[in-house]
Amino acid sequence: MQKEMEMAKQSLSHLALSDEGFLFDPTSGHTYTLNSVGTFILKHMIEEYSFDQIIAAMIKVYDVPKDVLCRDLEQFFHFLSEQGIITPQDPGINGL
Amino acid sequence: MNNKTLNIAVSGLNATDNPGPGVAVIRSIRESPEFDGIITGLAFDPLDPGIYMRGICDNVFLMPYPSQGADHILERIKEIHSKIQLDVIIPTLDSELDAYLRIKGELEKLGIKSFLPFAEGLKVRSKVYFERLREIGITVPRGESITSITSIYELDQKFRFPVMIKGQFYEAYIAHSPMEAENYFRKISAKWGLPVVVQEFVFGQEYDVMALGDGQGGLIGSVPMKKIQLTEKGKAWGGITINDKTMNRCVRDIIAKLKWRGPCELEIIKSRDTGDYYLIEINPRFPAWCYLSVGAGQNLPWAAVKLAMNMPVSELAPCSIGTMFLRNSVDHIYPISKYQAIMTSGELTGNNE
Repeated sequence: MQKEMEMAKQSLSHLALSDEGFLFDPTSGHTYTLNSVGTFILKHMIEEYSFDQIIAAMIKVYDVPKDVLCRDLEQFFHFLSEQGIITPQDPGINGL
Repeated sequence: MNNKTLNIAVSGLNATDNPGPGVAVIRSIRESPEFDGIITGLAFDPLDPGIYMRGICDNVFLMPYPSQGADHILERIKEIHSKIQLDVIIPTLDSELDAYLRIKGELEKLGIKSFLPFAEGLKVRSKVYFERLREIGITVPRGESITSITSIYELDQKFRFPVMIKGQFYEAYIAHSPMEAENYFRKISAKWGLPVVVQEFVFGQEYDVMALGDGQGGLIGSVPMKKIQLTEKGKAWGGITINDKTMNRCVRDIIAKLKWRGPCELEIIKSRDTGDYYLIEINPRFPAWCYLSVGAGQNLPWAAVKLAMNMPVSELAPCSIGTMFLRNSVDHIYPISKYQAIMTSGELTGNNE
């Protein structure tokens, strides 16, 4: 997961994400609407927060156990990967 | 630009749900702060909406259809030129280009300039020769021209279904089986003649790029776009500019290898399986959505006018990303006198007065 975050850090600075959660990927031309949690996470990813830093930031805002946050974050990464927004990783490398 | 006001003739004034590029080209030219002159519309049909739209054409003349031959087109242009001197002609339809290439020399003698693709460029972009682009290192789907139904039942030895079945000039269908391919072969060959082109189907995301080449391998500008709204025929009704660096390199490479001259629209698919970029079609003229180039900061139609006028044009700054266009349908009201004029005399002058 940490590796995936490193990859994501390199490839997300081009994304256009509004405070309201409207996401435009200028490479593919696709647009998405994210909910407030997705917007929160992606904003931090664009700002190059690490996985642990995002979890720490979420704990301050959301009243949710850490293991649930970790699971949700991983699911969100899968979603981003499926949509081609972050580069899919070799499962053998990142253990997903 | 210069002290002389220009008279620029533009064809393709059809502006229905499958519009010609003429109106968009004219709007682009008029938006240039450097433009000082008038626009002469060349229409094929008295009901082409671009004839009547306010602020588009100053004068309009009916033209013979390209199928009537280059000589007829030349005679008509001479007639128009004797009434209102033309400086530049921008033909915007594929079907006109052969004729204009034939009469290019005559037009130049009359002082009418243009910036047309090279004949060789037109040849290699045709669907029949398209596969040969692989020989110069351009990635295109595998293809084959076929002239008989027998060949269809041998396709599964060379291609994996589905395949694209394309007319040599127009129309394309996806065939999922030899039976379906036979059906499309019959339909297309009856309409567009032989050969019919079979092309490997590439699964992936399609993009369109409008580009302007200087004819020496240089790229004056390019505007890549993803369609975000389609008509029933699959034509763009809305789109947004994008910035895919790999695709941009691919476009620059294509224009350089072909030494493309003039405007074109490249249809490109990014393969879902390999991530490779396949050129699937080159349309040798501005697309109907070319007004997007103005919105995105690259007025390519105006750049084409300047190239036609032998003015130096440098490569334009990259277009702005995330610029969107949406078409609409609105009814306009016109006096019958304009329709009468174009019907009876084949011309409408002082249209914007």
